[in-house]
Amino acid sequence: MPAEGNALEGSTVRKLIPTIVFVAVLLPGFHVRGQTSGELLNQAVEAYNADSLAQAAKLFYEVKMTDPQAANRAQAEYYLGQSLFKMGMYQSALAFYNAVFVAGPAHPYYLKGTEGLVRVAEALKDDTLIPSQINKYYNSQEFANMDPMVLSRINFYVGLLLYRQEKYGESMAFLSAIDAESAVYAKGLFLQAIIHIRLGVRYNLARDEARTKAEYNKAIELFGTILDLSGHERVKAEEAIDRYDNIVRLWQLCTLNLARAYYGKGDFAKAIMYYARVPRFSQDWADALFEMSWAFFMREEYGKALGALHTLHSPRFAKLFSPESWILKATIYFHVCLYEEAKGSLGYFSEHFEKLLPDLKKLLDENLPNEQFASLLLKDKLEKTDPMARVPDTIRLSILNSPRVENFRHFLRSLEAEAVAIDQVSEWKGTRLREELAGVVAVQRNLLVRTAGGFVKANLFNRYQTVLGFVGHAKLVKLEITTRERQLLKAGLDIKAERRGKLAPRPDVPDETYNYWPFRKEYWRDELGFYEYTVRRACPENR
Amino acid sequence: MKKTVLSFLALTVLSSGALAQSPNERVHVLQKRDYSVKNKIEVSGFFGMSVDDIFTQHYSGILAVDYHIDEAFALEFTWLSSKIPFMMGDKVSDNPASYKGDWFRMGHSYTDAYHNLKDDAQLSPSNADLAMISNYWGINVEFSPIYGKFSLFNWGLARADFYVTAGGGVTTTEYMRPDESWVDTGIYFMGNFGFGFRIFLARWLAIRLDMRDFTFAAKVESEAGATGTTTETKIRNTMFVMLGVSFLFGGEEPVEIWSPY
Repeated sequence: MPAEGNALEGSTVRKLIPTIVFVAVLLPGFHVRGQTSGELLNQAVEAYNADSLAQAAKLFYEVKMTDPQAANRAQAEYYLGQSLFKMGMYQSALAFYNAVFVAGPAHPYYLKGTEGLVRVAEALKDDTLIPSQINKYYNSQEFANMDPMVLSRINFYVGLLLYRQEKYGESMAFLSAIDAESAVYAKGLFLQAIIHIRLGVRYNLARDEARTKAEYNKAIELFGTILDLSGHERVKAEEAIDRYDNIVRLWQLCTLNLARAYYGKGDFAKAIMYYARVPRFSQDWADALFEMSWAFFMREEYGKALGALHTLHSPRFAKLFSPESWILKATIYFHVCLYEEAKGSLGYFSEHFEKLLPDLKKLLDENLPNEQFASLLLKDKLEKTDPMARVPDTIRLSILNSPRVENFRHFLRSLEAEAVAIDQVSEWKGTRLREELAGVVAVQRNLLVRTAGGFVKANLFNRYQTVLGFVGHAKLVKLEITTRERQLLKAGLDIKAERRGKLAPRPDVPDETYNYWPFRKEYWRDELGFYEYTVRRACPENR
Repeated sequence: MKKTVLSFLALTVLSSGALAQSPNERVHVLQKRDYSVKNKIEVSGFFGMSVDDIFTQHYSGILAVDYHIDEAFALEFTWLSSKIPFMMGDKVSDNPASYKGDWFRMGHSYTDAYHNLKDDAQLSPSNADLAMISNYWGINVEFSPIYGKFSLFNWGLARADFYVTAGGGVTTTEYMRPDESWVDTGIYFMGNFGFGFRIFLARWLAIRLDMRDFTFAAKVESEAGATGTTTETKIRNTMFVMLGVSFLFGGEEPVEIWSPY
């Protein structure tokens, strides 16, 4: 019987053979297009076993649509999903697995159909639609009979979904139910830690210091647990890499988030230590540099803060959407009384970010349908007439850098390939199966495009709001600068910083494992991340 | 030293910055060394040749083993060989200090200037000027105060250490008599100094170019006079150019610092 990867499933189907024969013997009167219902199902099963999957799918579909026996129809429904899955037609398979799943525990293939949904979610990298469906019909009593590894994956998906909906308590309940042997165990721990950080931020806003620290401490402990999965030695780490999904990326993210947790706790020295561990040129590096400059700022290490921003503002990150970094730079200059430089940073912010607002607003106010927003994300090249071509590069790239974009694109490519594949199966020409599958894929594609469009629209709105918020900050800094300059004049001091103090000496080289180079307006790739400023001691109290 | 500038090399990896630098600030680079040599053992093989002698020409193989005490200082053991050590050939019966045989003296030769002088003018330089280094074993101290880096058309970066080196050891020298027999002049102390640089191609691999001046007192037979044969001593300097490849072992292996290994 079916040459499944799953041994359990193979044995189940083996037991069904006599049943099928039994049904055929008992009910000889039922015919489907000249054949008994049992014969057709047997033919389908034979084709499935012989790996003639297109033929098997066609026959299972016939049984599903025409067989008077509910048991045969149920079996055909599930194996139709299986055949399509094996053919790589994941969306089509999803339709039939979903039918099995939605039918509930009364369906003899209920749990297997649920497992099928999980496999499709993995194949399509869908962490939204299928998890949402599973969550809707989650049946803890029945799921308890499921393979714990599959159940863990379901719990992870549902936990992730609930986390995105900010239902942190419920999400935690699902995530903490993940089996420690499961491949998603580390991901589950990571998500729990992130929830603790989110809660820490909430309590911090509510000025509840004790609970803030407690949440951050829990997060730190969980990040530590994930790092400990490596055993801190190569052999064990390699075992962990084989066992857990995407664990190397999680280790990187743990480093960044440990820094964030310590920052949240107010332990800026430790935060800086972890930020500095984020690998240079890695995908988290820009975030680490920016947040590290904040940590240096909080420690009043202004030279190092400006140094981190210097890398962030280098040509390497020319198209980075980082309006806040320019406000931070202006704020640092303000703190060291370099008002001209502060104004320069604000000018840059105004020129490169504030200026984008009218176009963004116009775009958002046009009430375009979601489908039009989706082209920003799903098309490699935008035509000039496409409204998304008006989205500035920095903002477009900031949206495209989201890890969810790759999932959307993968999903879309998969659907497009599936539509072509359905069209090319010769056995299905002129059949209802082909029509139905083409319809399923088309409907899903439209849904995906709408969802992707919604994602883009929400992100554009978010960028608009972000810049708008910093415009307000910029105004405040400008106002403060004017006040300070007035005070300087009143005190009879020169407005020009050059005349108010000496430049600080160059920083000491920490030890012989460091090289010193003066920066002469050349950005060398190997020097990025190693900058440090010294500034003129221009504040009146430093004179 | 800030980036070594070679005029034909394109230097900048990236174009110049977003904002003009203000007179109220300086930007410095405190860069963690990517090519640390501290506590590393460096094994180098060189090909060397003498470049300044009028009459003699050495071709040598050189093996050097360096221990890098830190980023700046290293101790180096050097073995320079122009001839298979301790092989002398067949003794010449009328002169117990003379030997015949050539194949193991593959790195010893005399220049055209010597042959011209000998064949055309029937003259010969003094034996001291004909003495050649056969083998040398010595210890040097190496100091690398200068580092640099350069980029070739933005294809990548190469890092270099520039060093000076000085040391001494023992050497054996030989010279050829007019009858083409070779005379072993015994073992002497030989000092040397020089400079060079290594360009790192990887953390474990470098190319080295050295310039060394070897100084030794050549003690040879003088021409036979009325009072018979005497010994003549002359301070000789031989400049070597050495090109080699180095393999570095040990030291601290750089670890991706995010790695939980």
